[in-house]
Amino acid sequence: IAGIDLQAKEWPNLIPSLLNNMGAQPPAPVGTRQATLMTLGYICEEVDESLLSPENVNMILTAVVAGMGPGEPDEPRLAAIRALTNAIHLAKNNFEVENERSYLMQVVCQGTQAASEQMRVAAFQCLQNIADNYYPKLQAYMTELYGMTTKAIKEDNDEVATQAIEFWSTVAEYELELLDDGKDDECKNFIVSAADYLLPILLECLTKQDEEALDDEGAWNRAMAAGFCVKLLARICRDRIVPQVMPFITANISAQDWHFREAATFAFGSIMEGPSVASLDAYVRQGLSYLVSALKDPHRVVRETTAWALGQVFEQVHGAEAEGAAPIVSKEMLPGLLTALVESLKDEPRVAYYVCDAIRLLALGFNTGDADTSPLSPFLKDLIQKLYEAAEVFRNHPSQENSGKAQIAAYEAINDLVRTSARDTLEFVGTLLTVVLNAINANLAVPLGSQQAAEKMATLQGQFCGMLQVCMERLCRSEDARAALVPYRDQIMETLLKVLTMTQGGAGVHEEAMLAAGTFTVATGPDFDKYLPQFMPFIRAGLQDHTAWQVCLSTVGVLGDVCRAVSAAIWPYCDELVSIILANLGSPTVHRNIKPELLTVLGDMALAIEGQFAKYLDAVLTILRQAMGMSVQMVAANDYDTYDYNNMLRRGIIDAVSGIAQGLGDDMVKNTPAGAASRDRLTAELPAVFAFVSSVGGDKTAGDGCYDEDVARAAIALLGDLCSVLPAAGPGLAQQPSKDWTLLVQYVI
Amino acid sequence: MQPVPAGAERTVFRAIRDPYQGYQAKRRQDALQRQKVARLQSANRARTLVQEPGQEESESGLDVEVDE
Repeated sequence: IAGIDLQAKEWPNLIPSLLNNMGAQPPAPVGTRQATLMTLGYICEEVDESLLSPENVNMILTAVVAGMGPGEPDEPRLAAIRALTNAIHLAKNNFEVENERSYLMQVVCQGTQAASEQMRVAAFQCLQNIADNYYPKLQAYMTELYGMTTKAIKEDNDEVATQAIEFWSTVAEYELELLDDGKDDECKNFIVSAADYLLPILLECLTKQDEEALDDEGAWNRAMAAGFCVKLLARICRDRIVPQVMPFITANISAQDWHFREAATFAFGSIMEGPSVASLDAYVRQGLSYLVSALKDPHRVVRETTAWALGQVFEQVHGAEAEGAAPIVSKEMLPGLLTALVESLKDEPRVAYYVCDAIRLLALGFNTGDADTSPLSPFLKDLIQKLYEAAEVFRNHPSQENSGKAQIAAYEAINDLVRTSARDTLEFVGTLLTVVLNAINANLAVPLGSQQAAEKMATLQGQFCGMLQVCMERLCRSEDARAALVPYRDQIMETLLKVLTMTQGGAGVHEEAMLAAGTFTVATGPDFDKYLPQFMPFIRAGLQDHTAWQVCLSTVGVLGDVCRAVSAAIWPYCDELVSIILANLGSPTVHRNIKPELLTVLGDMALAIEGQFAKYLDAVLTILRQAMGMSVQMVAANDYDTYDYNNMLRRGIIDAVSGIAQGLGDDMVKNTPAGAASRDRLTAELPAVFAFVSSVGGDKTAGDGCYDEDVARAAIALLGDLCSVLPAAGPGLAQQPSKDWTLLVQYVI
Repeated sequence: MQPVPAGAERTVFRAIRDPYQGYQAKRRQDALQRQKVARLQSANRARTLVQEPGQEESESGLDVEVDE
């Protein structure tokens, strides 16, 4: 209520009356003070900063800090520190003044020493917020903060220790962001300075796994927080962390107690991201065979972490070896490695999940584009078969915890194996495609008793349609494999149409089937026209499905695919399509991310139907002029989010105008009567287009002379297109008052 | 007022992110990428002033053929 009323300036005495509760003499009852502090905290968290005057903020902070005094009872003290946590982002002015800042820090630090555990937890959470908001001011307090946090991590109970670790993770995340943004000079290197002392403590925490929590997905405790923090440290400290962590790993990886084996394995996986491949190389070569054998560890948690660590090795190191270095995963090693991984697919779903992920990352590391062969080629068939079988097992045991996740992981592993497959295994990809088709059809025949069963089936069919899409995409990359698809075309399209029909009732258009149909157009080319009568109703439904905007977006993309595939054969549908597209563009309820794509697809249609697009020219150019006007205005916002969206919009506008210029180009150049009319209409838009392109060149939001490269190139290409089909374009451009478009030419050159 | 611990969002299984949350998004992204390349090729084909065919096409690394 305060959020609404303060915004409307309709509750001016709210803050003063709350403050009265805190300052009343004799003091208000404890319950009132506690509730007041909670309310102040909520208000600070929710209300827009600009609605609270600096005086209000000062008074709130004073009241809150007074509520934290050691003389206060536990309940209001706790409410006070939580309120301070929520209000800390408002204390910018106070953090600028040294004595005020030090006072606030002192009060919070005292909170970390309170007798109440909840109070200590809240105080450390408050310190995290302070680190996040006032990192540059931390220097003077770092020694004390280090002492307090490490003591808590080592000696306090789990919940407090977890929050003390989180303080360091917050600092690490802040520093990582600075380093990623190239602001090295602003980084105070707190993590690098503390790492030598912090790491041993964190590694020790890794061994304090809470067995019960490992089965609870929402759990977050000391060992987990420490694992997360070690990963952050590795990304900041890079190479120097390797010799610091390796002794812990070697000392514990074969320990009797599983806690130590798991901790060592986790530590190994945690340092794969950050250090250079060269610094890890020897250790990884040495450790890989050990990890493979540990997939059979008697303890489930160790096996799970081992599979994850293997995935980390494959993701970060495998395939990134220095030039000339032997591959980390050698051909000789593959049979043993794959046998072990496949064997572990039969493990519990939690383990199998990471095994699938490891297989997926292994495949990505071998990605060879469209090479003739790959080290995985001899094993591909068996690997995919085993993954498929494993997925079936998980699917048939849905009650087993995490089986759903493992099933998806198995399918995605298959997908990445297909994506990265070499030419010598394409025949098998073709076989897989037919297997998937059969599976989809078999599922279509399964009677569905309930809404829940129908939704579950739609998800499964989505996964199969995804696999179908990936198979087709891979086959289409090679001309002969694409030809081999011809006998299956009707069956593929019939199947996709059935899936679309089945889901049309409740779940709208099935996005995965739609995406697969888009890929299918690439496989068929102009022959797709025979499927148009049955397929176009789904395109129409998808375009009108604004509630699921991503489905709508995918449908727009697929319509582009269809236009490219069938060219002029799309003409009979164009009246309706253009009217839906224009209605969507003008509708305030259509998600704004779809609108640029809708403009783009108008360009696709113009390219497909060429001169016939003249019929829509006036209506489309009118909308485009509005869009260009919007885009020009957006530059003034000088804000990065607006800039990002504007670049999407620009792409849409450029695609549309360029598609129209080229689609109608032939008629215009030949000067047919229709062509002459189109030329005049398009010529009338030239000033708007030139002003639009100049606004792209003059946009300094991303920095002087920095552009989105795709947009810059496309904008220049558009000017070229216009000059090539409109005689007035060249002179018009030369006389254009703003020369900012030339900046784009310079940039592209 | 119970502030959500910063770590709560961090955990999937054991502090390891779940790459499959967006599995559908990946295919959507792949499709968008493929469409972009196909559009560029289609536009280039239509351009009468193409000077070096294939130069722009090689940028993406994808090799999607569209029948004419």
